[in-house]
Amino acid sequence: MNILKVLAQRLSYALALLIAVLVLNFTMINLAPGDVVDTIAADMGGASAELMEQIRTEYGLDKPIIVQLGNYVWRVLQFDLGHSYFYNRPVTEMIFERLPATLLLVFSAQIFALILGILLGVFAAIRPNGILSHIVTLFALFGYAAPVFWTGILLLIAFSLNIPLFPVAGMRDVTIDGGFFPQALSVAHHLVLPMLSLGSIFIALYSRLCRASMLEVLGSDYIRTAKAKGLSPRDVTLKHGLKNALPPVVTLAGLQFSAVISGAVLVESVFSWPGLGQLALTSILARDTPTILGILFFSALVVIIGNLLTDLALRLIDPRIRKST
Amino acid sequence: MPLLSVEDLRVELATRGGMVPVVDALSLHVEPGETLSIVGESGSGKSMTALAIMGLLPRIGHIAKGRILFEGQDLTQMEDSALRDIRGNQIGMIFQEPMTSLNPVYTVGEQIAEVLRRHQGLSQTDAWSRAIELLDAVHIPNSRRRAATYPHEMSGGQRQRVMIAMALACQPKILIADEPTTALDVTVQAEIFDLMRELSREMQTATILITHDMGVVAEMADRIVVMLKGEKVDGGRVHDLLQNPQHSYTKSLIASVPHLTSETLDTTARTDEHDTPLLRVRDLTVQFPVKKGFGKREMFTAVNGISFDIAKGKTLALVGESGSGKTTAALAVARLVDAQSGEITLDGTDVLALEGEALRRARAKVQVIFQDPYSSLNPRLRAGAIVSEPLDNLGTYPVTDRPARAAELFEQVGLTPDQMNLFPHQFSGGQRQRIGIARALATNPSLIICDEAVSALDVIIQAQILDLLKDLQRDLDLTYLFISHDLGVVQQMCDDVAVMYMGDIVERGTRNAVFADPKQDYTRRLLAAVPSIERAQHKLGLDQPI
Repeated sequence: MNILKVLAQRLSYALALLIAVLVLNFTMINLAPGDVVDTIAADMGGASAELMEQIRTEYGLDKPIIVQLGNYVWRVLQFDLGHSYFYNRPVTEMIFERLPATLLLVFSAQIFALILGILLGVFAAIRPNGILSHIVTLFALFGYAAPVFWTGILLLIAFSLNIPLFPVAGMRDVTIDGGFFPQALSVAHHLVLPMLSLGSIFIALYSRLCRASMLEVLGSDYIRTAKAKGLSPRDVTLKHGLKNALPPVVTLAGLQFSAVISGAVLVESVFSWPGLGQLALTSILARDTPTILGILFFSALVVIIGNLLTDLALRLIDPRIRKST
Repeated sequence: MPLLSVEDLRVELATRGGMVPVVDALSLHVEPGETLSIVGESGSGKSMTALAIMGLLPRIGHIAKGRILFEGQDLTQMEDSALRDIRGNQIGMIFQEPMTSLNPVYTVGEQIAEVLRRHQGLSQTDAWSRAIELLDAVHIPNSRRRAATYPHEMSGGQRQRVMIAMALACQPKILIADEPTTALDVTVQAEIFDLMRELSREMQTATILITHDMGVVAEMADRIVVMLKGEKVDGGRVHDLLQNPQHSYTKSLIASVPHLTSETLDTTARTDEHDTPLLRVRDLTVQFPVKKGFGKREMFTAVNGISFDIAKGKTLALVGESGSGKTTAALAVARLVDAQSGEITLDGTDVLALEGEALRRARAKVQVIFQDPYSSLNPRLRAGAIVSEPLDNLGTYPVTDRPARAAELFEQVGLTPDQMNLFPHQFSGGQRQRIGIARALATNPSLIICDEAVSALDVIIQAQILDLLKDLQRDLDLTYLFISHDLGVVQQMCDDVAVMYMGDIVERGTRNAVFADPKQDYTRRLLAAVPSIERAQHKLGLDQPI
């Protein structure tokens, strides 16, 4: 089947999935007790019941849930995510301000974890009983066990007190002015620690799977064939081995997209990274339903795009998938 | 000077019990252009010898002693990089499993071109056009288009042709072929051997052919080395050895080759009773849905309206190549796959009408002996439990009698009751197949389906299991539906033969009728493709029978 047809099919699934996510999110948020009016009243130092009712009517919160849901879905389908009660700004505008920061963090952590995880896995598999192999296993165990915010805090302490090599907060140095390159360099500099702490868990995950997958592949008949052709160890391992060992790793990476995003929420708080995570945290505390829903919607979108990319990557790697779907 | 000589070779594998020699005190030599065959059963060290020559021993193996001289250079002392310049260039190798020996993620053209770029320094485009020429040389049609396809889009025989093209790409002086046709159908095997003969003659390549089949040796080899348990027990020129084998093992290997000529057939006519058969199959059709693109489904007809009978106490063989539908037909009789239409009557019961509990009960009547004795027994159950499990599920034996019945079954199949406490991995392949037979016998079935029951076994073990099946048939009045691709085995076992081809039975008759006087082209082709010593001897101009 050609790639465009597959893409069209996947996109139609994605749309249906997005609507389902919208409905579920909306219902769950509304099942939780309390609304934004409680927060506003609290900020004002208390308000009368009449005033609170009045605010609710103003925001349309007095209508039945099902009507609110219908209105919401209808508006989203017109690319309108509503207006934040708490910040008093359009939700879409706020999200687009912060989305690039989160995307940068999520994708760089994911790519960093994939590259390093695959490298470590391959080297560990070449000598399954060597030192590096044991280090990878140990590191993987550590990565599984250590929560991402804990790693983050450790890095933060280390780099703020002992080795002031990388900045530990924010996204860019405000004192720097100049063109694109100095700015980008500053962002990259700030990105190092958040990326490291978010990536660490996933490096562990990917390197372990890649090691196992490589070990299996290196024992297969076509590797013996490749050796019998007189190819160099590098060609045997990387050209014939790695390409066959990749699909499980890429599949896992695709499934982990949602985990990377939820990890990003924590990492952003630790390193004051101005992304969606921070916005999510404040709007949850403020019971700012439209903002929360908007963030959830975009998170779902990122996960779906991530999975789509995974699908395409797998088709690129393995010709058998191209044929079967 | 011989092209290749192996002198006093000893290969050891590191196991938990220490170093185990798998090849010992082996010496052999190969002259330019000749075909040397190394014969032996699994575990005889013949593949290890090939891998040692290639420098491809598994991680746990090493050469403990001896020399391997190729054009005077000792390969065992050579640097890895120098050895890599010889591998795939001066010495090419093809393997047993064409299904898994090609890399699934690269096109076959790329996999051939890669060798040419590596050893002959050809450019990308030159290597590709040479790869297409090589595909032509191994008779793959539409080579230009096929070069860009992936291994999974090719049949087993075609993949083996690609392997040959790859191994011969640099016109090596030696081609090592390790059981190159064992995984292939017999007609495909004949084609592959023709191709190997043609190309090695053209390129003046010497061949080391590793096989377990004396018939293949007789047709292909100039000289022969017989290996048993890591050591060379016999050797010499093929026609000398066939006429005058020295070692008793060589004699038994030669004896195990089927004799398919009519003179050697047992001509005592078996009477064909025409009373009601035990199993009666009429117009049996089995179809599977195949997915064709997005949302489209098509039916694939695996078995196309076949009919046959088996009389009580007799054996019918369903013969055919892979994909002919023989196994599907048998599984439909056992109600393990669903039939679309037709009639199956066993002992007066309409088998296709059975449902639910009645079907479960009826399973006691039809039991199956499966092909692979390694994977068809549950590794976590003790042998005794495997055999008595059908008694618990289907038998009419009272609980207290079951251990005694299991012990009796063990004795019937030539095992001892004290082996009931062992796990499957503690048995050899032949013994495991005996366990499989005991399990099939447990419920006193009226029909036993043997699905390639001896195909995975070495020839000598195979003969023992076939004897056991025949003895049991005589003693217990068993009826067999015998599925096999191996005409030699069929000829030893069966009363009647039905030849299947693409879902149809193309020829059916008594054994003698089908083997001695085949009516259909396909049957004739099938019979002609079986390697046989007689035919080889005829070619060599030898008249004395062995």
